[in-house]
Amino acid sequence: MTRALVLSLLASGVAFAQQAEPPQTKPAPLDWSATSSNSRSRALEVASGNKALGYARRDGFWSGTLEKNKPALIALHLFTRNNYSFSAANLTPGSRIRVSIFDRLGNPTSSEESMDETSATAGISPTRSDRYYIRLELTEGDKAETCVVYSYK
Amino acid sequence: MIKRVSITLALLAFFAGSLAFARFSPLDEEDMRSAVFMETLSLPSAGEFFSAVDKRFEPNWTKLIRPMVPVATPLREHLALQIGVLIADCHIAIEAQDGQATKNYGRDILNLAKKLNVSQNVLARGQNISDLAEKGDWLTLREELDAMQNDIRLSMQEQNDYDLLVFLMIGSWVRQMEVACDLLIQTPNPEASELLVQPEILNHLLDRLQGLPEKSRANPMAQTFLSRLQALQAPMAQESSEPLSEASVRDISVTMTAILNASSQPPPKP
Repeated sequence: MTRALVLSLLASGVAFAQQAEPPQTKPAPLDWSATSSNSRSRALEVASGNKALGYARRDGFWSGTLEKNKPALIALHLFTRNNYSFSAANLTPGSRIRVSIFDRLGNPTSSEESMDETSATAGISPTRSDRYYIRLELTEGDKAETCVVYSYK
Repeated sequence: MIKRVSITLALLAFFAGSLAFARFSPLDEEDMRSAVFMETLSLPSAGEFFSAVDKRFEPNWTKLIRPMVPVATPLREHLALQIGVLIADCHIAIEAQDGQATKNYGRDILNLAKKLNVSQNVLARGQNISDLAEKGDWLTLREELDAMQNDIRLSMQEQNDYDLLVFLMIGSWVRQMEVACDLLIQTPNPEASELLVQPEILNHLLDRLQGLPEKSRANPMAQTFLSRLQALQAPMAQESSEPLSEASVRDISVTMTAILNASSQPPPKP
């Protein structure tokens, strides 16, 4: 009886996890095109500042057009005891971006944050290996081609 | 006067607090459901996973290097699977700082990738990996291997071989998980078992397998992976931070080893 109850609870947990899964996005060839190479180059340049600290950059990136009041949200799996640094950049004059990190429940995490005219960074040392969300938003300007990359150590 | 200043300060504090709250207010369910999931970014790299494993176990990485001879196969899915496994093995060689093993794995990856008609970019990456291994530049090697994997992905996409990607991902992920399971079994560490709990990644791989065209899905290899991986949904579905039981770790280990055994043998004919 107890076993049946546990199994049914597990099954409902699985069903819930499947419903909560965000829609899967096929990596669009556009993400790899040269049109984003400028903001990507800048984002990689910002991230390379961490290399002296032992951070390795991931090759994957998100790029797209950020619009005012339309933030982009990216889901990721991060591991405890690693350190992560997210670097975002845009080359649109007069625009500024912000990077924020949230845990699997959507709560903001304690993260460092810094910004200059073309880039923003945020870092995290996860306390649990889990799903996290990275939010990119435009804090100044109406529209900007933006790219984000991340590094780990 | 003092009262007016106090009221002004209180109002300022209130607005500052409101702004801070707006900035850091939690995400809602709708936000999280609409989050982008990109395989090149949302799935952790093998290097990233092994970096976390290293901090937990400080394993002797040299002992984890294993000779692996790629198996001749006519099946492109099987080639992609083997490339994924070799990419994870190459990351192990990098963790072990073993230049020769890194070069060997890099060469094997390249040889298999050539059979899938990959682009010139991938061939150039192979040369870079050899040069960096010669120099012992381990940090840049991690980046280069990650870039090579993405270039292989891109080549597959360009050739409309999108269906092969799932086998590439499974190969790498399964080898990563097998290494972590072995370490957990040898040195039980309940807290570290959280490394194995990756329900979204498992579900993503299952979705991709289920989304294969009928012909590919009917392949016995795909069927085996589907049934084996589906069995892991229950142990990975836990929402609490409770450690996995030893039995669950062993179950995951058995599954990963079975899938890896499938990758090291010629696949059964469909």
